[in-house]
Amino acid sequence: MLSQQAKSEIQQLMTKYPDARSAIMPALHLAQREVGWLPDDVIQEIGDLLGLSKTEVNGVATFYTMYARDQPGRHTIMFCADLPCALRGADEMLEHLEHKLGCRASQTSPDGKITLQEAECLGGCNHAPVMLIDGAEHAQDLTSEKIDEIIERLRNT
Amino acid sequence: MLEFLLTSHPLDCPICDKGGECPLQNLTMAYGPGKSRFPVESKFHNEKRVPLGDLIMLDRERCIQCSRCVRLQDEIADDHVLGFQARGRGLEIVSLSDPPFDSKFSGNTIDICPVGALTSRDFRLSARVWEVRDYPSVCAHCSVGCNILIGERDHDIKRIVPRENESVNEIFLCDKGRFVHHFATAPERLTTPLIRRGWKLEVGSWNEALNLVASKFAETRTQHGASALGGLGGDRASNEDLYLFQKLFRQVIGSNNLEHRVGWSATNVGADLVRLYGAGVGTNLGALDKNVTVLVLGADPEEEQPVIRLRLTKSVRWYGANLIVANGRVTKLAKHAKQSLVYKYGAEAYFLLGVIRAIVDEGLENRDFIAARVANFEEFAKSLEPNTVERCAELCHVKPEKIRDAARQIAQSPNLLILSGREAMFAQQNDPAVASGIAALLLITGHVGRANNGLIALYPHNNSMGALDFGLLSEGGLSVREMASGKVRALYAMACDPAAAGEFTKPAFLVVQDLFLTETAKLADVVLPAQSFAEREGTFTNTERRVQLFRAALKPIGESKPDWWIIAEIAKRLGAEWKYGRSSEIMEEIAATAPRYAGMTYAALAENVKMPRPAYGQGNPSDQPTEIAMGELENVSSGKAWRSVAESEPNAKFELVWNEPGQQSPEDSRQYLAVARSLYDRGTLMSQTQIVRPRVPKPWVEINSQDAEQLGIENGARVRVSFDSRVIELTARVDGHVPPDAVLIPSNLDGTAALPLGARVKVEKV
Repeated sequence: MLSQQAKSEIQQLMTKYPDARSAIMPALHLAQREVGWLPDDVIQEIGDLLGLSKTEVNGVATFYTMYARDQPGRHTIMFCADLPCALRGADEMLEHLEHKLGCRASQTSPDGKITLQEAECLGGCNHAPVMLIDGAEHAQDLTSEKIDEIIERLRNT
Repeated sequence: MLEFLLTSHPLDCPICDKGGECPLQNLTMAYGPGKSRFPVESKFHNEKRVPLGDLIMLDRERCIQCSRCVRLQDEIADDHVLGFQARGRGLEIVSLSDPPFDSKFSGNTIDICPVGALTSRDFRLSARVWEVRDYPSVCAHCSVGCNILIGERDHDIKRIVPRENESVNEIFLCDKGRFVHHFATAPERLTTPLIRRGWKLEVGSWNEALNLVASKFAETRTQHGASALGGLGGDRASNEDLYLFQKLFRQVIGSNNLEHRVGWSATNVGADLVRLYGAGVGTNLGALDKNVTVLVLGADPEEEQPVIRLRLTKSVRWYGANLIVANGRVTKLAKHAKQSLVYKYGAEAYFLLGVIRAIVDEGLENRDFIAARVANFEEFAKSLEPNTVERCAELCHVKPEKIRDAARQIAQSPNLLILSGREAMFAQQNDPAVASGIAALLLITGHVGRANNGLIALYPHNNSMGALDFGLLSEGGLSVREMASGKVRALYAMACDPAAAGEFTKPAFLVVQDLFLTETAKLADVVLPAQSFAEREGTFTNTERRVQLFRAALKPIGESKPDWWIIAEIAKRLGAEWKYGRSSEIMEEIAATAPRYAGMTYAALAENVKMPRPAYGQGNPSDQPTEIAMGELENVSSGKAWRSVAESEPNAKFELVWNEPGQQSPEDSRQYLAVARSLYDRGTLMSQTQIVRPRVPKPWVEINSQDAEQLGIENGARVRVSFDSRVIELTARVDGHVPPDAVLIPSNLDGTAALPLGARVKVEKV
């Protein structure tokens, strides 16, 4: 369920476009920031606000990979799988990370704490390999030790 | 491209329903390479049986992601219930509505699916399309009269698909028309005449049954006079049946007790208005452009005439028709209206009067037309005096500026169509000013006697129009209620079930002629088995007055006979010299004697015509040379519509009738009862089709959210509705569709038959 404030923010967004339904992408972002992911009832609520059917909102939310339709772990790691990182050993790092977490890319660790996703370039090629934690924190020049440290930290928060 | 489409296509054509009529298969056969360059191992395998709602099965492996079904639902059906999920090779069709694929047009996606991805859960894997023989027919459900093809194999209906007719249903058909056909071959069908011996109905021979009916009719007539006999002819029967039925009563028996409106509590259905001002021949509801204003009054075509709703929506969205929807509640069609007006139930006449007054006030009436064809405009205008627009507005709860705006659009538009539905007809019954208001609106603006102008009355059944044409109306005779309450000594009920539609007292002698052992038939002295529309020929007249021919597809079930044959046999036994060998001979007689049906022989009705196929696209169809754009349809039998008086007598003068609107009922703390209808019901025909059962809603009552809050009723709660001496329990639907102080109940669900519209009801929580 969206908060009243989120709803009024979405209504605000709707006024910015000649066609209210165009606000769907920022509305989904807003909802995801608040709820953490996009469960069915949120999809329905956004549809009701924008005058779209649940099926249509779901179509947009599943088309773009950065909207989460499945419940993610408490933390999300986006791991760069592009060329510069690969040249600096990203493959090995990813394998290490998967072992450490006990899950594959696009899955959530068995303890439900961390979701691992592969991502396209995160804009930190000069410090490759790079991963993005919770959409905010860049971890760069990754090594196995650095990864272990980060995972420990995330598991405990 | 074909090679790409086939990379993950399963190529299971030998077991695919679409095989034989599959565009992908045809294209591959014509142009495809024999061998693919992609390795077989790289094929994707997806789910092959994904139920998409109750009626459609999706095969994700066959789907080529063309999105035709999504676009049909979005752009034509206006039910946004199908969509894509994910992307790339994971792309798949899903429906998240509740219930899944919640649309009345879902079956059309099967037709337009270019592969076998969407299949009918009814027809699926039951026959190959080349083994099915298609017989042209006309849908026997609602009054739209969609053209269909009955696919027959082994004397069974395998499937029903739409038959293209640009002036009736285009290429569409609603799910009721498509899936509800199992009644025709149901095991419960009556196969022999039944005669009551003692307490039981026993099998009898045709001769015995007919002799008994004729002798009882003759006996009743000699003992109690001809008016002791009555006939109820259902408006599902064909024109031939109804014509002979009334001829039997009027000419042979000499009784005028004839009715067809069983289950309708409205007594005035506007048949006179249709005869005088019916929409001009050539009106095409699916291609009305910006020069046409359509006023939909008190109607809910989504539930009652789905294909008309679909075509009106299409006219608005594709061609810019100017739609005005006026009703006591918000219906689905209102979403597309340029103007949606919600008047107060019971004050319909004041709404119409307000519009008329606003037209006269602003001098927008059509003076040329009035001078040529209206006899008494001055007097009429004078009698409007005391009712100002403001007064009308106050009484009907529509703002005066909205009334004025609607009036301007109606008067200034080059063309005007009025579609009046069930709720408007009920209003006409309570208040004659509604009917005279509709007529006056058409006359003072001069919108009659031409195509795209005039009145279309949206009647409930496939041949309601025919029943009205042949005078199965209680003019001078007894009403349905009187006949059903035992005021006649002998009653002949054909194709109708008065006992299920309300209170019924069995008369001394009761004959029922039907497909099934209905509630009325269980009480009958003689039951005569009739044939369904699939087993015989005949004609239906649709709500736009179009007479259409249907052909036999099946062999008769058991000893059942066509209705007209049975009537003729009874007439012969009563001494009439009737010689009808086939139904076409009856139609020839109708064509020769009934002026409206002049020239409408089977040969003329079956005549194949060329029909321009309209171009689909934004804008005005008349701007584009459509024949060049999309070519013509050949070999279409389009049926023929009869002409209204306004068309056939161009010099006839019409008179405006003034009726002071009925007194507003005093304020009442109880709720006003509005009665609607649900497309899917518990009717005799529906109950034989298993797969549509889940679509039949549980009886519900719609309440405004304000009222619900006051009464403490939540959405989905059980409520008790009481009126007069009757109490019914229903589930509440709380929404903004009905106005405050009114409740809406569909009248064709479990236990909701024969609801008195306009009654005051009390609603309380259980």
